Amino acid sequence: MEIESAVPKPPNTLSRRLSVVAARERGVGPDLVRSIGTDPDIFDAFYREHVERVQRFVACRLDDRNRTADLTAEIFLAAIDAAPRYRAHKAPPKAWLLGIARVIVASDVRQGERRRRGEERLRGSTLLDEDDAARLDARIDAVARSRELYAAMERLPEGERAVLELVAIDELSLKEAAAATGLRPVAARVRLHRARRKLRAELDAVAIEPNPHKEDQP
Amino acid sequence: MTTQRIPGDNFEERLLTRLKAEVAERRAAEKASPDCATVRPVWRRRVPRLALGATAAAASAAAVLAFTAGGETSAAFAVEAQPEGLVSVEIRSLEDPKGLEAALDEAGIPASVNYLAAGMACKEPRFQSVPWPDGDRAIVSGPGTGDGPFAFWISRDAVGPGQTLVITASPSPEVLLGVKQVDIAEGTVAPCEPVGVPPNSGG
Repeated sequence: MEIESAVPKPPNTLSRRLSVVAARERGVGPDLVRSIGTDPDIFDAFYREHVERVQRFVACRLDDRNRTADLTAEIFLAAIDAAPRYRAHKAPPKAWLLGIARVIVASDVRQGERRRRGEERLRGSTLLDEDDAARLDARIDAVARSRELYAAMERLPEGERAVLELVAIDELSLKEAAAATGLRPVAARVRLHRARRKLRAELDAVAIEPNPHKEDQP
Repeated sequence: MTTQRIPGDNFEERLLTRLKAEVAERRAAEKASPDCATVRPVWRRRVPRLALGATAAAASAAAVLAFTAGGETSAAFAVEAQPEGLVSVEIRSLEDPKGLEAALDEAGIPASVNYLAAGMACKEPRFQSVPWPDGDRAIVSGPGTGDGPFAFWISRDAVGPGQTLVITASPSPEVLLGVKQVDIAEGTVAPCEPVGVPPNSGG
């Protein structure tokens, strides 16, 4: 049958325009993620949808304005790079992006200062002005409680910690967290359960004071 | 709505400008060497599940499975389930209107599709049209010209009980693929009675 062998075609102008409208109105769905690396308008919609979440993701882990700006830029650059390999059935866009963010932040923490010497293609911190700095500082302060939680997780095994982080700090659903870490939902559930149990023991031991402001909401 | 609006000049906007420049560079590079292109986004086709020329009845029976599995595609049209309750509809040629009706019906959107000969239109009035739902419930193409395909997205609940999605087209160089009408009708839709329209009447 002739259409069996039909290969996907690049979007025509109208389809593309409709996709852009849809992306702006409803967010960039799984069918459009592969376009973010080559379509500035789709990328625009994707970025606006997720930039605050990505900044918060970084701020929950690092108490540093300039690094938050640098890593925000790096995470989106990495997403642009990875977009052609995006597979919708593996992870929804948000989980996919936060999966990338995890790798970038973890790699930054691991490699530390050695890596941060002009290697970045785009240094986000050079784009900050005073107003931005104050705003980012406020954002970083607002998620102080999440950083405490993140620090308390440090002693958990990596696999358990990853799922707990994504669920407890980044507010992903269990299914999304599983997708972001490449696990089956049932395996993620087991790890989450173990991680929660260990973390509870950990928190009981260090007795972190609860934050009265509950500021770590998005 | 999930989109964050970021007004004015700030870090996020400056970063966006830089990142978009990066994306634009990639697009230019991809156009320059299409053999290396790996991105084929947006209207990804699924393997068609219906043989061409299937009768409407056979189509209807098969489409129950086909649609739940992701959509229905033929040479003339594609109806595909999209995230968040949206359905994408793409008309590639003015053929098989009954097949398109059946596919839309299986997608939960009752439809009346009529393709007429060039210079013909359905006699008006045919139905009482209602305004399109707000932008976040239905997205329709604006006017365009050319050979198509003509495409739009609609949410499953955009066409309410007692309503019908009406699509009317006749070959015309002035509008995209000759699609002249995509309306939501309230109540009964009278059968299309073809009548001639004078040239340049706007159709």
